[in-house]
Amino acid sequence: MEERKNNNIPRTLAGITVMVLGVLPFVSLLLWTVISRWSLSDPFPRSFTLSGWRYIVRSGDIPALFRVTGYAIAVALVSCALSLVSARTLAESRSRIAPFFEALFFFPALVPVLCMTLAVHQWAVWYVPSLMRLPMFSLYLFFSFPYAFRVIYSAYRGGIQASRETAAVLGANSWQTLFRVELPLIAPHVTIAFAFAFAVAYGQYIIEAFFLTGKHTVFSIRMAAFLESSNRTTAAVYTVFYIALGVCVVLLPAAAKRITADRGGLS
Amino acid sequence: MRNAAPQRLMFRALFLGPAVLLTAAPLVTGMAYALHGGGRNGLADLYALAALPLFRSSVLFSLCIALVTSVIASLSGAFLAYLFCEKIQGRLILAKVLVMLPYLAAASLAANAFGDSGLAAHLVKVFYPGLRTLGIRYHPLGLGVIITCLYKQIPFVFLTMAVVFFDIRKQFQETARTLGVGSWDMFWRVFLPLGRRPFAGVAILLFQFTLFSYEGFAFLGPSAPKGLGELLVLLYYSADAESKSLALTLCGIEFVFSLISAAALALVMLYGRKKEQ
Repeated sequence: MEERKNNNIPRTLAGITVMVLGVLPFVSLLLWTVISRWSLSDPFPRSFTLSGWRYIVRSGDIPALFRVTGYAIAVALVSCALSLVSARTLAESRSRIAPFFEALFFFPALVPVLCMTLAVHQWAVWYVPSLMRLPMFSLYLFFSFPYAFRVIYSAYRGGIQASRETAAVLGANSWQTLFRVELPLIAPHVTIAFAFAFAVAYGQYIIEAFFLTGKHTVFSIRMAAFLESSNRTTAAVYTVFYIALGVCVVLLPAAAKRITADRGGLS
Repeated sequence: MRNAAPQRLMFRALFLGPAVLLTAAPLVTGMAYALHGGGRNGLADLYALAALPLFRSSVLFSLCIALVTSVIASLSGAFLAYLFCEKIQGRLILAKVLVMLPYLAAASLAANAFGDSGLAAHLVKVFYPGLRTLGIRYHPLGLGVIITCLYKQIPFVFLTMAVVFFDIRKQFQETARTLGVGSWDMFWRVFLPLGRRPFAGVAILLFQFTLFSYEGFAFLGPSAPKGLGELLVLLYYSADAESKSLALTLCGIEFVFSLISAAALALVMLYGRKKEQ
């Protein structure tokens, strides 16, 4: 009895943490998309509005959101492709300098985004002022790549290497091994790597704030402006759109895999 | 046959080249520019930066916030991972979404939920009717910043440690349970010591992220003292050239600090691998 009580306390604490940090912010966010006034002295919301929804539709910011999403998808895809190539090569090599490359590829995750962006921005302003998009894209890749690499490299260091060696022993050539052994085995890891790389690129605020000032307007900067001006309703609607689209993209590879598996099952 | 080795080496260089270029080029450029720009006036800029009253308070404030959040996030994330590591196996997609969500708009979510008229304040008011304001946003002790950081970091620790703890659970849980060890004890005395290296690595990462982060400090932090990241932006965008030079000095300091963190993390990883071997 005593033991069960001891086991319940940590579970209750964990449940409270999950509720406070996981559920409450989303419930609050959804409520505030339709509430215009709910001061602390009122037990219930005093008035409701759809002004935030109306504003986002009329402002023309939804295409900006899709543009940002497309950009983050491109960054994530390039990160995954680079990670696949480099992880495969590193896993294959028994060289002594392999850990050096491993450390080099993971190092960007340790560099503060702000100071890296500031330094590269300063450099770009002086040397390539007309080509600002190039250093910007490389910065996005720089911060997304380590996460994708880490996931894919851990897969290569695990069971996949053994399967590759088995395939080679059984006479499969390098391409056959890649397409018929490695890629099917590595697919779940690639979807996770894609999700991580996408989330890092999609959630970047600093790079956009430094590189796209002036004639470009970026969604998260608009969102931050509403947040700073305490326009809670509009900020909530922008955040809901932002999160919803992000989640859709993160879940897309898994959904595609399930659909493909279902079709395969039927045939 | 004799040419196979150089050919293989060439192929490897060709395949690793783009990734090396991608990571090394911005790193070298950024680091060189920050250290050169920051050190252009020798140590004078460093002294000028240290003489700024806002700098000293910002360093202290950022260090405290980074320490508090990294300790709380590491421990609570690891504890959640210990409790739920078995449950997320096979539900990795759901776990992945839980980790991704806070990353997408942490500051906005935290400001909305824990701000003055957020749902958290209304819920607290049910229990304390006399409450006038929750006061988390712009709190002088940085409560808003801490909540934003925790909100972002706990899921990250959870997913990282869940994988580690799942392996430990398979090996040791039954033994520990037959010896009559409870949940708390099992976490403190079995799981945490066995997963100490990944745990230390995660804690170092979190400390480093928080110390120089921007969003939480800018949107929910007090107007003074500021976070180091916020101070950096403030100096960089000020009109006078001297402040810009100070910003680059601060940027150089941050680079040096991240090198130290990287060295610490590498040591933790290398030590772990040696032990494994």
